[in-house]
Amino acid sequence: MIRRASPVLASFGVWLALLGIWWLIAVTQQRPGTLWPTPAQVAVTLWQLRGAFASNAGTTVEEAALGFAAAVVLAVVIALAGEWYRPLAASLQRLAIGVYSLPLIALAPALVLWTGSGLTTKVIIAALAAFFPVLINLTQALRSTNPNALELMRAGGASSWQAFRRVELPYALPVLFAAFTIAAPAAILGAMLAEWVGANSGLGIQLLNSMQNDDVPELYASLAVASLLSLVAWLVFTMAGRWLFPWHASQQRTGAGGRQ
Amino acid sequence: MTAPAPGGRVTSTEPLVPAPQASRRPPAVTLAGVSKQFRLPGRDLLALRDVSLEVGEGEFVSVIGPSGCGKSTLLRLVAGLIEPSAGTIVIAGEPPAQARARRELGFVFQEPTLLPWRTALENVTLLLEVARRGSAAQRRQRGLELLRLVGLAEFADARPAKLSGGMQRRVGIARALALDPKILLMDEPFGALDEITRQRMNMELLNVWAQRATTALLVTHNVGEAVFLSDRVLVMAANPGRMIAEVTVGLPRPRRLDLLEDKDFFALSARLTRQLHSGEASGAEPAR
Repeated sequence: MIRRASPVLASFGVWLALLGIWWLIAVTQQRPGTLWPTPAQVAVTLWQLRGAFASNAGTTVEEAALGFAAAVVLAVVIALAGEWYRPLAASLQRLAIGVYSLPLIALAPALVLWTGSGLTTKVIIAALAAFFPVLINLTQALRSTNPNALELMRAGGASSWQAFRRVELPYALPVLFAAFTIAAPAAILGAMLAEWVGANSGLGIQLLNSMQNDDVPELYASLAVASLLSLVAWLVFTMAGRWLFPWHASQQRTGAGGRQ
Repeated sequence: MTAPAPGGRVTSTEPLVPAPQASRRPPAVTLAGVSKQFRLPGRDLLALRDVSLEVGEGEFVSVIGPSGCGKSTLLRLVAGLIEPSAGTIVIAGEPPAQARARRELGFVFQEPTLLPWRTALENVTLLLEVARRGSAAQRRQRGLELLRLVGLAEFADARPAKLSGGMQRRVGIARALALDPKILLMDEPFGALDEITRQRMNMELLNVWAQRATTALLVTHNVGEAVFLSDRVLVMAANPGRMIAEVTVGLPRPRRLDLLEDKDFFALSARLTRQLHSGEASGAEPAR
């Protein structure tokens, strides 16, 4: 009981300690308009501007979600194509690495020129940010299926489709969900990045505006909302993975899957 | 402990002379002059050289040999998972790939290789699903029957992670029997188990084999296991993998654990061990 509760207590304690340190610095440093608002000031700002934060977060979430979905579809299609037709895999991989090494911050202005500063740019940048981890992890997962399990299927007279559906896919799905926990926050980051180049609403643009207006509490509040979004995105897929694949090794070690 | 039964004499033949007992049964598995060469980067590896053998219908045959002698390759060839470089393989009158397609082969691996997201029962019925054999209810029924046969009926709904190593292997055997194969191929199925568990598993395997009247071809590196289970033991040497001896085990059936203390059992085990060592001593032959 104590051992089970202690990690929760510990992480709670760490957060509390960080908050305390922040508050101490803010109090000792405070002059009007300085770099350090107290946690309380940030909380008040969050509450006062809750409408603006909600609508801006909504915009960013929409951009990130669309980008994430596009990235997942694309990555799954490419990974499967590479898996079913191996000669394609190497060149697809190289293409993916090429895309990954494009600096998104440099790409965003070019995309604005092509597609305008509407939703499309943000979705594309978010997709680019989320695409790579999904592709790499899924490719890896499909290749590292237990070879004995595949031989078992072959020895039992299974077709390659049956082997894929009953062995390769179930082995790959937990890894795919693990990749989602990285890709979803990345998509939010990508969306916010794209907003900096030009947008009417969104957390990224609110962050930029508050910085230019020297509104430090609002800047910190925007930061807090952005972190919260990323955390929720991570949490959603982590919990979904635990719930869907309680049998998976990665879930057994954490103990939260409830097996041990 | 037990007095040797009249049929319990050691009736081993000299190396490579077919056992009279084997030739009386119609062959279930025949290998004639089978070689297997693997192309590795920079060199060719002769995994098996000119292997010929016969396994009679309903016979239990073991293959023993040091690691790297091509035992597993032999089994994979019989299962039709790989093609021989030379020679022919016939299983119940047809080539391995066809026997495989007709689901006449059951395969038990070194590792239990259970799918971790499926329950014990679902693992047993996996290949029935693949073969689209019977309705879901019939498959379930059959799966439960097989689990009962290996003594795991009450673990039907447990996932592999909850089962011990021995239990996982029993599920593996039940799964191999699901399609009612004519031939059971086993690749060191109990290799990783402790001695006591291994002996218990051997007893259970014999029970299952006797009840189902299947032909069994087992690969192992454990001499005692080979003698305890088999009608006949084939001895292999490595570099290149080849057959060097054949010993008929005339010990009476049904076999019980006290056989492990029988002097005929010891004599046979000692003889096989000697043959294994002579194969080692003759060492690597130059590849031709």
